[in-house]
Amino acid sequence: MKRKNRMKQSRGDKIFVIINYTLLTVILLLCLYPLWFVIISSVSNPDLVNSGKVWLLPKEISFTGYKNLFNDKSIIRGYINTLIYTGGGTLLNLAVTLPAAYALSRKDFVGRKFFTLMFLFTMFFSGGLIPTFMTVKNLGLYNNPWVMVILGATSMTNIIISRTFFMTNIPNELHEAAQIDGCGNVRLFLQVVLPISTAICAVMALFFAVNHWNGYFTALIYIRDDRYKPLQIIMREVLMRSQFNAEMLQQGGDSAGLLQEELKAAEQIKYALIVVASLPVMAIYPFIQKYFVKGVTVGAVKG
Amino acid sequence: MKFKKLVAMGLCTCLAVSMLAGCGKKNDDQANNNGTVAPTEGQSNPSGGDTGKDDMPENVNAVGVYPIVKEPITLTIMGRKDPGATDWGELEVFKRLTKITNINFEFELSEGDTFVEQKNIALVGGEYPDLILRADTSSITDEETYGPQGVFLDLTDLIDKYAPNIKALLEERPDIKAAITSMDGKIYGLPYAFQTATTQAHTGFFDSKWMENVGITKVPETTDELYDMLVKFKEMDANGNGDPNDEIPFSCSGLNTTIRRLLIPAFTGTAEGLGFDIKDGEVVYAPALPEYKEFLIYANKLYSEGLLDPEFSTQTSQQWQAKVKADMCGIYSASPTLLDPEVTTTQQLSLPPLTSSSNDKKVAIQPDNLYPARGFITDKCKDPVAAIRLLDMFYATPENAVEGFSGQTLFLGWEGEHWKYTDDTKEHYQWIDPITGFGDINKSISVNMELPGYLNFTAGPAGNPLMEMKVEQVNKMQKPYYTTAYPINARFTAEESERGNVIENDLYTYVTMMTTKFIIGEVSIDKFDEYIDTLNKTGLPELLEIKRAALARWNEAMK
Amino acid sequence: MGMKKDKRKEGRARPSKEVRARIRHRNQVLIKRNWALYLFILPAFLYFLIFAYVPMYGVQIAFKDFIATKGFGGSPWADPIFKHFLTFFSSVNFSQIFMNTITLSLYYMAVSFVTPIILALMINEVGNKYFKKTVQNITYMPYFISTVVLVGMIDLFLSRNGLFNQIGGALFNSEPTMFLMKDSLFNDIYVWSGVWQVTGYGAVIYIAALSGVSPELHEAAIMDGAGRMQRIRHINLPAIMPTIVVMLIMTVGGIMNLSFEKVLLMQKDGNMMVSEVISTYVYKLGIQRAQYSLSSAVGLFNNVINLILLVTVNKISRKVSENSLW
Repeated sequence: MKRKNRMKQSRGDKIFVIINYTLLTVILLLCLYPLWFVIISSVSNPDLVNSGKVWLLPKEISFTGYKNLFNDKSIIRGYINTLIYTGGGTLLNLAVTLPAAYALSRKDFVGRKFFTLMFLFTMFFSGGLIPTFMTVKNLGLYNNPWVMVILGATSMTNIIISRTFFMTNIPNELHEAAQIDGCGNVRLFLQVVLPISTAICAVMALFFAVNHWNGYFTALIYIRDDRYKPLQIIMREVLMRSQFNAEMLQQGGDSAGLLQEELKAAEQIKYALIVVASLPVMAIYPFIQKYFVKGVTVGAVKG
Repeated sequence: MKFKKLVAMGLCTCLAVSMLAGCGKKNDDQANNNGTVAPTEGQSNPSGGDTGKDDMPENVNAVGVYPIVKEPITLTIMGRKDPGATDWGELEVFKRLTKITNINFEFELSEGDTFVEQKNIALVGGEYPDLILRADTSSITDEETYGPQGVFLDLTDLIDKYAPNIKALLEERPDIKAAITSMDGKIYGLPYAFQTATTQAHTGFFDSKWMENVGITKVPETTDELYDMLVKFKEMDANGNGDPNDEIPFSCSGLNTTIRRLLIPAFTGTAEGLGFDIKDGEVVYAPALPEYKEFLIYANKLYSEGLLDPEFSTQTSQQWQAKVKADMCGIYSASPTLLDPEVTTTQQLSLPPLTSSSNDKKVAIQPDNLYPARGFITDKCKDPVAAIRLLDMFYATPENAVEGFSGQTLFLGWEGEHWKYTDDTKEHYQWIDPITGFGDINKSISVNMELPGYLNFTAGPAGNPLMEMKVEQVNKMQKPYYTTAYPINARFTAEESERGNVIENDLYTYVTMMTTKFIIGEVSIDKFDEYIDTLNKTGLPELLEIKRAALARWNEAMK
Repeated sequence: MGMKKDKRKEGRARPSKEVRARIRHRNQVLIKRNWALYLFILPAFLYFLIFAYVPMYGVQIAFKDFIATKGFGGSPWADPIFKHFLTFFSSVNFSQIFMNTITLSLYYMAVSFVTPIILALMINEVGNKYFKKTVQNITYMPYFISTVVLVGMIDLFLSRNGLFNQIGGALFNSEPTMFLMKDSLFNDIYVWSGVWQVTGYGAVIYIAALSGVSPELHEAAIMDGAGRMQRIRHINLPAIMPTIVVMLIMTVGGIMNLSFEKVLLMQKDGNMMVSEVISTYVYKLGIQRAQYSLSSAVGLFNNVINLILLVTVNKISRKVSENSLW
């Protein structure tokens, strides 16, 4: 596709390309600025940030926020926990979701409608927090780090997305051909379907990983022990700290005697934490993009 | 086989006997020790020892005797800690309590909203610990729910038999007793009752320099005088930085601070500006009073003339604080301790309660110094007697202190070790190095507020001019005008609170929204009657009825 | 279950005995041949069974007065049975809150559903590899800004001396506008800040789907003299249409699930008329005060609406585009 761009372009195409590039550049800047703002805020004096004096360049630079972050043991422990939960959780997600989605994508799978409806139903009716809590507790998963991996092992939304991908990108003839060859479903899935579906695998891996990375609710409810807390819980605590301090000061809580420097540090750490906490998930995207391109080359095989 | 068993049994008995003997010895020592450490303990509670002997669990020592338990036990404690605060297990207070009492602690802590969520799930899901400490404000509802259900233990008897300090406090303060007694007449939760020099509320503070710069000599006492001062703040270079246009005469964040505590009461004569209060012996809802209209007209005038911060309803606390610190605000709703102590050298003044054309009574709300339902013992606790004896220590006065530990210790550490009085008048205290303030106390010594306990500490801090300014101003400008508001801790039946919550939530949402709109002129003041109609339709009369009934019960309980 | 599916397929007339027998036989063959597919679906099936269907008994508390020590079974039925629904409906502000929810949700869905598709199509047309990657990566990043900080930035940028007013003042010499005070702007601010946050992330799925389009199709179209717009319309769009339809159905089925966190953070005293939505209302009333019955009643109400919408859209989609969830 890209190589062909060098072919003659019509005038309309040229205009299109120019508009496209211009618009994307504008979008790029719109997205970039707030990110830049987070970065400069993380190293600026928070009073100046809050009074609207920090816009383009950091002012009164200090790295207290980052220093405090890395001195905080709970943050580092949370970081490690989150890495483990994300890695393990995503692998389990893929192992559960992709085969199920593939099965549901097969038109010759008897019971397809039953399973689809049964899974869909759970998106709308749930027993609620307490009964789920009881179930988890009875399974011995309460305050057990495994709950972080097992709860949310799959998601109906993602099953549906993958199913749609399999249905549109894997031609029926492939299944038929494979079956004539005497190739079983297991081999078919592992050796034929998955290799030409790297794009959806990559997307699913990304979606699940991001979910694990950003998720805090499971930990909030089921994890008591500080040792198992993921980064997001700790991040929430830090954000609450800054809010809490600000409110205390306004409402006469000076007996809590929060030092001014602490307040400032809490404000700054808020931005610093976002930078530190998001870097890994931001970094995996380019890695995953590689697989999108692969999808193209394999697409040619089927075409 | 049989032989083996017998031997084993014999061994066990021997062990048990020798252990008991050992304990007995240790006990005598401890009792003696205690006689010297806390001589008042035994005297203040002659009955405690007697009752204690009768049905005292085997492992627990008699009241007044420490350690509390003979053999170490462990209590699991669920607690609400402040965001960012130190883990309680690392705090000096709990470490020393373990030494004094022989009770170990296992903490399950969470912060803010997280605590509420985890506590609710724990209670409903049956995964709760022995004690719940420093519970949140919603815990009064919990008390009424889980008390009668048996999840929280009824403490009435336990207090009577094993908690002399709490017992004495309740006898002395019927208001506390009324506040912590549930609808069914039992006590399930322990309160935090406190009186300090520095926790007083604060309202409209301002810098005396501003007043001088605009040539005003007298602190305003009426809303008209305040208006005149604000106009001058706006027109002149009040902060003296050479720019006459960067002053915000009156700044606050939201309705809940100065507007609620100072401006509305100036017109309505109710100390509570946005809620229920008692006026001339009747329960009233301040935002539904006819005088509330006068307030709205006044506030709208301030807003439209640029005297009230145009961002008062939208800015966050952080944004607003940045403005105050930059010396841009005249009347600011915070404590002067917010300011930078290094550059703030001038006197900070505060407004007294104001009077107005519609109200000639100065009223200020008395700070709420009693938080009920801060500590619970649950039915999972195997040693309720030990637990109540432990909690009773939190209510000890300095005279009753055990090894220097009393309710005061929770607030600011051990006297002579972390702080000391500056002289014998005990009017001021100062920190002892390396402690420099409450921040340090919270970091390594204690959880300084809101654990169940009793605190009466009226000394002011020495060498903290900003805090001194505040304390002085509050004492001079507000204390004389304190009025008793609607009892915040009055109890409601389950039905009353179910219905009342819905109405109160709807009312509050509507009132804050409409008040803001009236002030910024988005809704004309002519619509005031329609506003009152809506309040009535929302269920105000019904809620007033509920509040009246609760007040009647409260007054009855106070008798 | 396979029976049911086939009934629809076989058409309006009731299939005769022989036909049904033939179908049964075919299904038996298929089940035997595709036994592995049941293994494939087993983990997901077990997961939903254990973590979704086992706790399902909890639904009843919407109709009960929940008492913790008595548990779900033992708690008494509410009197009247719809008590908690009525509590919710009888709030004077109910119609306002309901309309706010629908308006905000629809607005948000309409915009945030379309923007990722457009962005993906645009990115797909970029020839320069580095620019393409940069745009993808940067637009994806805002997704990771936490809501608290996002709302904090909104408050800062839109304040009286914030970025927007400074730009406005510098370029157009305009008076500062109090954006946050205006009811009419609340929805816009909510929606467009949300769009900023999720568009790049939402585009990922479409970018992936577009990567599956075979280059030969494009080459052939170019030979035929098709311009870029034509190729987008006739090749790229149809290629991702199944994904679009499925995403649409899912989005519509989530219309009532407006998350309370961001709305709650954006609420100010002055904008409650438009900013109070069902989830924030329930949060204040139910969750903060631990009224489980009330919050689950409202949850049930929301999901019934969601389900009705999902079924409807799915039906329409099946007629119009041949794409459907079942």
